[in-house]
Amino acid sequence: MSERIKQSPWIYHAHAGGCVGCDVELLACMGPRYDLERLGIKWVPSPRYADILLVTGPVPLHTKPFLERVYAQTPEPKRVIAMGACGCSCGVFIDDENYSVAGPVDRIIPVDVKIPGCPPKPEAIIEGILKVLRIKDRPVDPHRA
Amino acid sequence: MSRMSTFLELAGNLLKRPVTIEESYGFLPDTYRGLPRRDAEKCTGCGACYERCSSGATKLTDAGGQRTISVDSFNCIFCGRCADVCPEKALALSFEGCPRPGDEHELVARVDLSRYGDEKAITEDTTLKLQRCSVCGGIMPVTEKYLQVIRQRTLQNLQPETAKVIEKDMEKYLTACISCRQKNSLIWGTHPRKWL
Repeated sequence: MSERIKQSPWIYHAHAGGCVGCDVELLACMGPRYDLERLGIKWVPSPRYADILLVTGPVPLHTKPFLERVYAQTPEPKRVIAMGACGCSCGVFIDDENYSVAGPVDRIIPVDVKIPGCPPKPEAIIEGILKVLRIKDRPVDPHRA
Repeated sequence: MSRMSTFLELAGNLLKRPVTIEESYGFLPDTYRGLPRRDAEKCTGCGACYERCSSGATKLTDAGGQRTISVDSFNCIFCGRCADVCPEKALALSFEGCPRPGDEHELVARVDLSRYGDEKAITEDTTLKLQRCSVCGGIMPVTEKYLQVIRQRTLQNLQPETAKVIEKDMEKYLTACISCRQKNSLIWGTHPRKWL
């Protein structure tokens, strides 16, 4: 079991694919109105020292290996948030004729919290991040243990 | 002079309140769009929301003589087109009874805007009974409630003398399935050519 994240969570934002609506909404989270940094939440530029992996968008076939690698690079204890309708269920990209999408995020890597919405409002994002902090323990990925 | 006014503006900022909202979790603005709530009493099961849904979140399933209309919260993009198109105004995207900023509240997030990874998506389901054909007894792809509404609306918009004739015809053809209607319309005298 990996431990609970006790201190300020550092978030690595992985943009897997799709439009950048969710990413723009993440910027709004760091703006003055919904100041996420006052809650100790910080965006970091590398998964190597991140606590939470925040994945936006559906996972296209060509991003899949990179997302798996980023997940493997994140140190334990780690949590994963899938954001947006695309991250939860592929959203508007869900289609039998779509040849380029590998699937929603939870088909590639284990997901702890899903934030639906297209894009989710900052209120929903903050709620999702606070929710992921409340998770006490989570089984360690057998491939990495 | 311009320096003075700049200084005054800066000093004025000290008196202003910060733009950061105090509680940004668990409290929602009035215009927040959530999963469409369906008023099961108003919904007739016409399928307009299903036709208009842009992300395929709304699904119609006709099984066992019943029609189920459901919206998947993970697929829904909260665009509100279903609420726009609903002829009965049965759909609404706002949250009801959730705490607003400025209300008297506990400092706890109570509105669920995200789900845990192993939780299933919330769905908004309405189940309605499908109409059975009065001639052959087969199940028609229309709900009973929708036919009642159609009957009412059509008669309302007609001249009273036309409405009398139509009402008699409707008793026969409205509850007949399409193949039975084809066979019997000349016998019943409900074929549209009588108006020509």
